[in-house]
Amino acid sequence: MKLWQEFLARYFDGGTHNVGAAQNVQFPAAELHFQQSAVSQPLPAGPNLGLATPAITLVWTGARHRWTAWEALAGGQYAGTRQEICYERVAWNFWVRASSANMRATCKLAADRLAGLLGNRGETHALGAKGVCRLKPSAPVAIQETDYVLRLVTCAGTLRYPILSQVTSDV
Amino acid sequence: MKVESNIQGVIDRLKRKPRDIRAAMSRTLAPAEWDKPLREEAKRTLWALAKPNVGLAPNAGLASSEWDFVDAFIDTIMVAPFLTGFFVRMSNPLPPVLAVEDFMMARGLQIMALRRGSGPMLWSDFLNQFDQMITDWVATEKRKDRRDWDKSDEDIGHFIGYLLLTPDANLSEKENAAKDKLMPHLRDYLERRQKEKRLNSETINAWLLAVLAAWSALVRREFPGRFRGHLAAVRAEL
Repeated sequence: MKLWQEFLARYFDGGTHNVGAAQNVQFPAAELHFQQSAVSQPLPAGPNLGLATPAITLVWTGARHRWTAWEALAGGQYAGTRQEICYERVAWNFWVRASSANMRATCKLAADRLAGLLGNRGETHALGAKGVCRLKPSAPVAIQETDYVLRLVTCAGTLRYPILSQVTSDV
Repeated sequence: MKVESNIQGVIDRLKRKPRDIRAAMSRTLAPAEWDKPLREEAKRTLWALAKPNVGLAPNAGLASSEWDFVDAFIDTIMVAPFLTGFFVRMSNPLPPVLAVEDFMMARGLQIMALRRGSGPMLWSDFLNQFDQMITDWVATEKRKDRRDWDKSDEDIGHFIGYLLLTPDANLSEKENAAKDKLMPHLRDYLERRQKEKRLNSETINAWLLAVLAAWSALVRREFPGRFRGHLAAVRAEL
């Protein structure tokens, strides 16, 4: 969750960012929430694009499949060290909501930017280096709601982390 | 040099393939396989979407927190076999409380339908709801006397329901007098039930649609992996 918070906050700040080959892509400033944390009511008006501030709620849907593998670490002082790595196939649901003025446009923009960002390998490389890899986002799905316009972006991925108690080195 | 053929093994394997796929498919689509993940997905989704309704007093006719209703929604989830697969449904656990006039109209329409022979079950859901509410009132608020000692709450509720929904002309004088005495208490009870903590219909609709979308994504995501796993297990069986 912390990694996702860092990653999303870097983009959804109301500024422009280069995403892959696309230069100066405008991102709305968004409220970021995780699991069941409550969204502000009503969502505040945003300073950017003349649109309201959307809220993105990330819900982790749990590990589906888990496996381990011994791998040789590459680079650095631990190069050649064999380490048992655990992989978990997981999925996240991103609920994108917006309210007040231009809520449909705001919600659509935020959901489209999010899906595009998650599908961009260059931009998610930093997440991959920290163990959140093989991201496969789906296209945003619109869900009707009256006081919030709501869209869902689902994203499958793989978590990769070392099992620290089981490390060995080739001698 | 001896040339051997493995063609018989290949033919046997091909013959088994459709059977293996059918077996793996039926195991993958077994309701028990999906019940837990679908319930968990619905719960996570509703916990994420529910709002605390900050600023609303608990007695303002709305819930103090939408989180209070999540478990009631989860309890309505049903996963059951359907043809060669399964279906899953979640419904609104909070049906709207109708007024006495609505029930009277339902009873009148039912009588009319019975006379025309167009189906005795018409409107029975509404009338069962009315019977249930009268029974609740009998159980919680009615001052019982010696006439009630040998009757269950359901019997009393059913009789009072009959009195209240039957036109005056069809009742005896004594029954009409009892009806006039009971009606104010029942009206008061129904009005209080209508003002209880409830979710608005837009929120209920949004919750049902959101859970449906989350379920759809979950099944699409999970199905291939589960099917592959079951197929490998079937093929490994002797």
